[in-house]
Amino acid sequence: MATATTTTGKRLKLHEVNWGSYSIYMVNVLAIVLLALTRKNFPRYPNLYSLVFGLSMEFLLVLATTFLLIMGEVDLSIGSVFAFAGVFTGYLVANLELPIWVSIPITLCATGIIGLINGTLVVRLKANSLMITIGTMILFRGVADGLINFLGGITYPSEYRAIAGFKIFSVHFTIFLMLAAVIILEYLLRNHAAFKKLFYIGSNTLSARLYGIRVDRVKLSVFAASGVLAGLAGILAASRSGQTVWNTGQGLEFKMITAAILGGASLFGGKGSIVKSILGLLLIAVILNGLVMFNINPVWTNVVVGIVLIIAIFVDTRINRDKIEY
Amino acid sequence: MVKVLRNLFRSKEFIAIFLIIVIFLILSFGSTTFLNVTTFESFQTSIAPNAIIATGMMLLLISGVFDLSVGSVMGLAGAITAILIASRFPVLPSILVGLGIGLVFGFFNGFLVAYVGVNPLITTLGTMYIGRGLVKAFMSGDRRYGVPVKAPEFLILGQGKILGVYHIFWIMLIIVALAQFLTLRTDAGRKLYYIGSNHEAARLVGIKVKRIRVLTFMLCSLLAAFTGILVTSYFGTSSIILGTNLELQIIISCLIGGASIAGGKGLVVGSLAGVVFMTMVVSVFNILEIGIYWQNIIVGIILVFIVALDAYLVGRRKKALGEV
Repeated sequence: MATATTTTGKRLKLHEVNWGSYSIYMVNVLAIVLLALTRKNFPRYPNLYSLVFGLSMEFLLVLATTFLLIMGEVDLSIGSVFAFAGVFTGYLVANLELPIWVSIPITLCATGIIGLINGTLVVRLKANSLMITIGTMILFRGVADGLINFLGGITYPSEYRAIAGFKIFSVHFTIFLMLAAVIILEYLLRNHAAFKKLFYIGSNTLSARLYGIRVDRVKLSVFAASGVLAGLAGILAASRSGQTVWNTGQGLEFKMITAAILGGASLFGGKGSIVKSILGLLLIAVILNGLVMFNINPVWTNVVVGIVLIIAIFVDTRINRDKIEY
Repeated sequence: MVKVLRNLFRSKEFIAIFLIIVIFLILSFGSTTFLNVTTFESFQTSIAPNAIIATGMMLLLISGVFDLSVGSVMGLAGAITAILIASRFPVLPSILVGLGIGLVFGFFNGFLVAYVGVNPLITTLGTMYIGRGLVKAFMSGDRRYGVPVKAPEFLILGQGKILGVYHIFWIMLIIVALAQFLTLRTDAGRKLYYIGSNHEAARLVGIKVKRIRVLTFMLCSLLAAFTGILVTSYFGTSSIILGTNLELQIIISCLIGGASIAGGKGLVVGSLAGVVFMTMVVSVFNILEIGIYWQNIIVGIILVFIVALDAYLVGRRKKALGEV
């Protein structure tokens, strides 16, 4: 008889399984099968490989977004930090002629500090994380644009460009990195006490505090981690494209929130899963790939992602509507 | 008299007015090019559009929400109206279509926020991207460098003057005065403050919170669409970048002008003061020839500072009321 297991290991009958929590798997399968049947270019290896490779360039951002959403916080500055990290590393390598293994840690420290600034403002002043990080989003967009202008459209040195091209068994290492990170983090998120705190904070901050969780410290470290992850993703992406242009990473924050919410995370906190967030990102990538396959003008991309976001949030709010009202 | 003055100094609007006077004095004495007719003219056309949108935004902020899609709605309404008129559609219906787009976006935002209960930031972030995407889609191909409009009866709207002052500026003054009067002197306006202070209590005393929410969102988007049409008429051409990144500048203006993210506070006149302040800041940038990315950095810092200050003040008020 078909059974499923809950996190506590209890066996469930088929009708007791919460099928709603598996919807992201089904929608993905449906979208992929539909595209594979209608477009013969879709299921070819180069297309699928570039789909997964593209995913492995952006997955670090969705990790950051998911961790924050589980706590009920949002970081909208990741797109700007992503652009900043790419161009800042380029500046260190090309202009200051620092070796790449020195430049990357410096950049990651810088983006970590940006995350800490976001976190400090949110935690200390109890400010709305959406508004604060919109401020830092514009701020670091300005810094990134300034640096891009200063560098004047150069192509980065080859040792910087080589990072994203590094392959293991003729597969890009970022894909292995993604698989490893997803498996390890998903396991930790479900089983490790330090990660479970995120869920407690997201479900009920006050009672989490009463039970002795250092809410402020946890939030601060996750915001810092969000900065570092966005920085790492930015370095990888800049290394892949060889340069940073002025709109690099614009709108990424919004794509990541959409992905995480498609994957069952909620703006109200307390929910989320790494595997499902990645699947949410995959779904968006498949939809955008489908637009290309059907020769739809790429200017419609943002319209489509916007509509997907609104639908996802609509469903999220329907499920959680007893929680809050505007 | 003393009491009036004391209240004036305590009010948050005073910060904006004080800053405006300081910057104005610095500019007048520090720059030889500031005090002349051209500056006055360009001030009219840079303050008026932002002030009209800020009026709608202020009404939303008073009632405790805000709208990030205003820039996209402005751009979309301007683009569609220009495209229609350029393809020999009559002027008035074209303008009505542009305004209709504003109403549709406003209704969509308001419905999702009030009746579905979606976070206003995420809702309007989504409609912001949808609107901007639609602008790019409609203005692609040959239209990407702008759609020139030549119909004189459309151009008079933005380029005409009465008593040497642009129509846009007069329209702005009328809208601000009307909105100020409505919020302070009528029931409908006062309800916005009740909703902003405590929407649950407002609902319990019988105020139709959801309906008013939707109407406020529609009004805000309508004003944004109207502004887009006015600005398109002023430039005589539609532009793909019209209204880009405007929403945050407007919200910052309102926050400087005395609004609070938490709602229940602010005056429409304050939003006008905030817009004048932001316009002055930008003109300082231009006079000092500061690059656009530095402008972004400074605007970002101002926003973080204002939001942090606002959160601090709200926190202190809550502490004083014993709510923490």
